[in-house]
Amino acid sequence: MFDSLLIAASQLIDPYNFFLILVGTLVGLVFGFLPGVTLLTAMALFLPFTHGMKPIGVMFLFSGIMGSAPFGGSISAILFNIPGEPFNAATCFDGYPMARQGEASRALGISAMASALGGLIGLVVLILLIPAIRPILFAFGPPEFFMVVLFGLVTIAVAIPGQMLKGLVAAGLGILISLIGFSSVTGVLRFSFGSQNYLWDGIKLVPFFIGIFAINEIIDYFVHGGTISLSGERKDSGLTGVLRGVRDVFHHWYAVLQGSVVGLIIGILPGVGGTVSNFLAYSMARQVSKDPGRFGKGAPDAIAAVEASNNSKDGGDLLPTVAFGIPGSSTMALLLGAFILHGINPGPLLVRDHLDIVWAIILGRLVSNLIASAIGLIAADFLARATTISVMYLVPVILTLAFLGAYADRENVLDIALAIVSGVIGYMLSRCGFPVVTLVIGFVLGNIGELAFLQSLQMSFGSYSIFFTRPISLLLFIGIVVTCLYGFYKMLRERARKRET
Amino acid sequence: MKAHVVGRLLFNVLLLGFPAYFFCDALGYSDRARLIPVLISVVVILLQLTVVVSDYLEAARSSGEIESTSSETPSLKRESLQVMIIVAWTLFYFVAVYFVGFLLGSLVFFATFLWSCARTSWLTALGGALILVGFVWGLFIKILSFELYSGVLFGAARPLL
Repeated sequence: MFDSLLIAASQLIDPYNFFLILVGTLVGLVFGFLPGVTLLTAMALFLPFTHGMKPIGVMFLFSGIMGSAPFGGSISAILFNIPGEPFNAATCFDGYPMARQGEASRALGISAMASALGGLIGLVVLILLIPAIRPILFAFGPPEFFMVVLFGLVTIAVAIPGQMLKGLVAAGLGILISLIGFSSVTGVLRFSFGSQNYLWDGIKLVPFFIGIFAINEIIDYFVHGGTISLSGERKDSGLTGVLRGVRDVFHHWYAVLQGSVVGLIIGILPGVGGTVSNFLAYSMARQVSKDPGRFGKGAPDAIAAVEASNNSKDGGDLLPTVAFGIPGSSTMALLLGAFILHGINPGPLLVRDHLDIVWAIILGRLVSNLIASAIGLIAADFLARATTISVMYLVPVILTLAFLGAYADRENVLDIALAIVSGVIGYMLSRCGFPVVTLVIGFVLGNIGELAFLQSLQMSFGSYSIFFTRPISLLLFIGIVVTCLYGFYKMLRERARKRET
Repeated sequence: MKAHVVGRLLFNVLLLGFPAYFFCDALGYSDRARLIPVLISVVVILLQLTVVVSDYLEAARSSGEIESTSSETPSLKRESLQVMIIVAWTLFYFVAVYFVGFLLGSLVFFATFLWSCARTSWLTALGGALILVGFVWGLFIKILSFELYSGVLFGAARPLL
């Protein structure tokens, strides 16, 4: 095992391979930053150019892209409320409000540091877990996953102060929206609103997110004018804000750890995806926070948890990919494609025969994580200046980026219309007191929740007892009930207090 | 009752239509396909009804306590007007992209927006628009080889609904 590690490490210090990681890191940062142009696009674009390269070099290049894209995506999420990658959506919830308070450099500092730590934790656990992955994979079946989804939804709705009912309504609406389109389980086209073509694939994640976050915010910019930073200036100039962000991460170390664990677990589960881990990490952080009222208003622990989960999930994601040849996500599927293209057979034999390649991915990701975070920390102060420019100059730029992002995802002009509709509805919902957070979480978790639910019923031949007879599933169910009861108790107590005052 | 409260109530009532559509539509599907939609839409309808009733009661209570102030209506009117203006700009941009394509549409939108809303000179607006379009062209068309929409007037296919 250590021989392979030494081989990979010696390859890493080779100037050419290091250059490949650097190129990958810069590409990942740019592609991560641009909305609609995903990490997957970057990898797909670079795959054909890797033909003549050595397999280990290819892995360094791709590790560079994978390691930096999550942080790149968080930059646009924090500065402009546009998630660069779909899995950066939850970063908007608290990163952007912090930027509005004139603390963009602090938010970027938190993001950079939490990304580096999350990535590090993910990779260390990946190394430790490679021999023990099988039982973890088998412990989480569809019933457990359904309960995890339900738990995530309930905790986030309950944790929103004074808006539990509206939070649950918004979550329900999000679930319903996610059910639009062709159902892969039942083979039925549902809720198509008369569309026979466009809605076949359902409401796509990227244009929906761009609408809910970016266009919604553009409306708000235009209405209120001024600058993104409400005071028109930055609270901390120079490195002060960035260093505050770094300190925040260490102060909220538990949020980083918790986010990393959530990211790892979700990353290990094949087909679940980073967006889910992002939202679950957010809802868990909110649930355990001593002051959940700060969430959505620029809570540093929320940004730390979400960014840590974003970066650690790739460690989890890599686990089934390298150990079994089962890709946990489309990115990992593309990585497997790169393995095959370069004559490496993915699967259990990979760890035995090409452990140096596995190490190359791990080390490459680690270095890329660190480089991306260092670039982020250095550039944060400069990037934060964008928040003091008049929004009247930013609106057309952000709108153009939003339109491009919505279109570029699958090159369909109607996706732009979808983004506009989502944005207007999102604005109206938030103006009427419905938290957009739960709408988005419901949307992300709805479809996969239904899939897990129906798969569970298939496993049990239609019996609902499957959710209560498996220990982890039962434990999660108890957690859901307790959370709900606590939420109602909190709501009644608040009402009683209001009546008294 | 205050204008924004009435507006909110109206929105809340209208919002009921969304889960109601899902509920009615779901009844026509097979058992497995309708299980979750029916369950969720019923829960959402019930919760939203509770929201409507509690909002109404709260509004009725507050209207008895506080009289409608004249200062609130203009700010609400101003906000509504601003929302309509920006939505109109967004739609204008979309229509421009749809008919004349991404590059030309972005050029027209960017220049007119900067000129009329940011109050820059025509020259600055046009210069800014050209820089933006140049960036989009260079990055998306030249480097990433994306096929940006060329607009129905320039032969692009109409997307199917």
